[in-house]
Amino acid sequence: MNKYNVAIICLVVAFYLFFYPSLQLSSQHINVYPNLPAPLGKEPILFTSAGQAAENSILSNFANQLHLEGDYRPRALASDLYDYETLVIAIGYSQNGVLNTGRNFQKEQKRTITLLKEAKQRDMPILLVQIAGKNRGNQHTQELLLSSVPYASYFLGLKNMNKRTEMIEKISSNNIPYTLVSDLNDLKTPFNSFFR
Amino acid sequence: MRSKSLVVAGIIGVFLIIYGQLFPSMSQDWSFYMLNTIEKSIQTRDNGALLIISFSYVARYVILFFILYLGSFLVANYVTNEQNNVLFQIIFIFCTLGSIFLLNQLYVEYIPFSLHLLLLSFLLFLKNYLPEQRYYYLTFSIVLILLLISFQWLNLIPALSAFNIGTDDFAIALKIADKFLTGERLFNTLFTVLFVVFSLIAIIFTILVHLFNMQFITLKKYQRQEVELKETRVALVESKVYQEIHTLVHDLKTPLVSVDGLLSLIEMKYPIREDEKMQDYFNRLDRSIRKMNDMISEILYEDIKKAITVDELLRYVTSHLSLDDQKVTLSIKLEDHLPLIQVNKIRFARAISNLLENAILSFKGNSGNIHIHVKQIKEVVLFRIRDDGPGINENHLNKIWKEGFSTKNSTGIGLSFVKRVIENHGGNISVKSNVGKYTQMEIFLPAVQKEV
Repeated sequence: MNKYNVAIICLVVAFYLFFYPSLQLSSQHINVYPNLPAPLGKEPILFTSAGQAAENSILSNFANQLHLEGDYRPRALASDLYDYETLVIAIGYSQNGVLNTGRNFQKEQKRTITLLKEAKQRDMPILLVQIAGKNRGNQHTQELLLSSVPYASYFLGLKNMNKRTEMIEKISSNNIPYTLVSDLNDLKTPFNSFFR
Repeated sequence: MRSKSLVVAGIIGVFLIIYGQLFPSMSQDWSFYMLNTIEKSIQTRDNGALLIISFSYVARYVILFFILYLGSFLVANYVTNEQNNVLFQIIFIFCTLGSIFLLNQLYVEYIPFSLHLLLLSFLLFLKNYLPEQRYYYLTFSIVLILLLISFQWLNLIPALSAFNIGTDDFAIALKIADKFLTGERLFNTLFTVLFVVFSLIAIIFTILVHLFNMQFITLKKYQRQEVELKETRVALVESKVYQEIHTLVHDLKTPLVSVDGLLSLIEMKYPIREDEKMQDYFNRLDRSIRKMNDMISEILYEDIKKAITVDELLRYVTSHLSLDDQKVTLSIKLEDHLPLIQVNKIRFARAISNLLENAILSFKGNSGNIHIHVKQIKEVVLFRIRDDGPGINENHLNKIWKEGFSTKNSTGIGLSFVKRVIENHGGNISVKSNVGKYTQMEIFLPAVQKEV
């Protein structure tokens, strides 16, 4: 066997793995509402993170740009809700982010569900946002999404999200309006429509 | 049997793999700092901070993967005992990907295998051009670091996300933050450039090392050829000197024949038989001339051999040996009833003298003992010459009989001459040595079937 053969085999396998996700990608076109027909949310808003991914803080930045009143408290608990009218949760699981809070996945999921239950009990509008799309297609993010959807008033996400069909089925079965956009910065319009 | 250095390298390899697995938990503060800074850069819309964290990200993962790759390399090297075969490459790949798999399991990282397979293929390709010289591990490490840096940039190129590249926690956060802040323009441009630059540096470095090594090999070849040429010149000069001596010795025969003839003439012409004293002088002169004639014949003709006693041979050897200025003690032990040996006395004595002179020189002016023991073993006479000098290095033992080999900057023909002379007498010679303790030469020579 030639000494270059192993390197060539590695190269071929690597390229197969590079193009494998593209082969698997669903090309199915979907039609979604561009935004809500009437606003649901009120200010002030509590922005929090489910999964503690660093990019979840982008939502609060959107809010600043749209001059929406609210606070970004990534580790907010159910007891923090009393001061706010709307709950916005950005979902994206980061192992390092969760470790940084001194928790683990189970504790983070429990905190999120408790928060959602409390908001539901208070009749607060809940906006669920998944801003990373398929980049954060990990299993924990998927679990957080599926367990949070039943509590949501509106769902915002990217069209290229992981297991999109499964998610749309879950959202539709709970009669939750949803909007999926192509690009991260396109989230701003439907996000604004939730409040105005 | 694996060498000690290989075993040590294998142990270091295993240690590096274990250390690599612990590295993320040991550098947790670093990862928290990176995470907080990414969040802060999003909040403050600070591209600069994001860029700094991108460099920090690359540094962290380069350190981590360098440890794992080098560890796997050393383990594969230990297992296969060679670096140029296919098995080595397979074990290296298996260990590296296994370490990454373990890392993914332990820290819920989503490090893609595809990028590492690509990196491994590049690394193995370039490795074939790295010369296995003294600084091999250093050059390999430099190429590895350059490739790791280059391929870590790929993780941060958002355009490659579609190909499952950059799926780990930090790479995702950084790419999304860049998309939010610059619309992916910054990372796509900058990191593509950095990938190309570092890949080129790795390739150029490998080519330079390869070319430098080729130049070095050519230089060494020239040096070797020069040494060989020098040796040939010396051998040629020696051969000429030998021929001159041979002619001179041969020319000694003519005056010797004249002296012998004149002596016979004097003996016939003058009544010296009546004078006893004169007769004795004449007899002694005649013996001396005959002896000198024999010696010249033995020098000129290798095949002239005669049966002599071992005692006679050794007396002849010791009479020519100068031990006056040395602190060396020479002891000789001869067994009783030794048989005669059939030798060219001059040449064989020269061979024994050579061995003794070598032993004396090895003491370098210090005190020491040389012991000669001669005994009969069946139909063979064994000459055992043993000294308690510094001994001969194990690596040199097989080379000492080769013509031109010398550790004393001499011509290196001494021992090859000894071996040739002994083999011409139907015998053989062997050497045993223990560095720092002794050197023992054993000459086996066929005995003449007649006891003294």
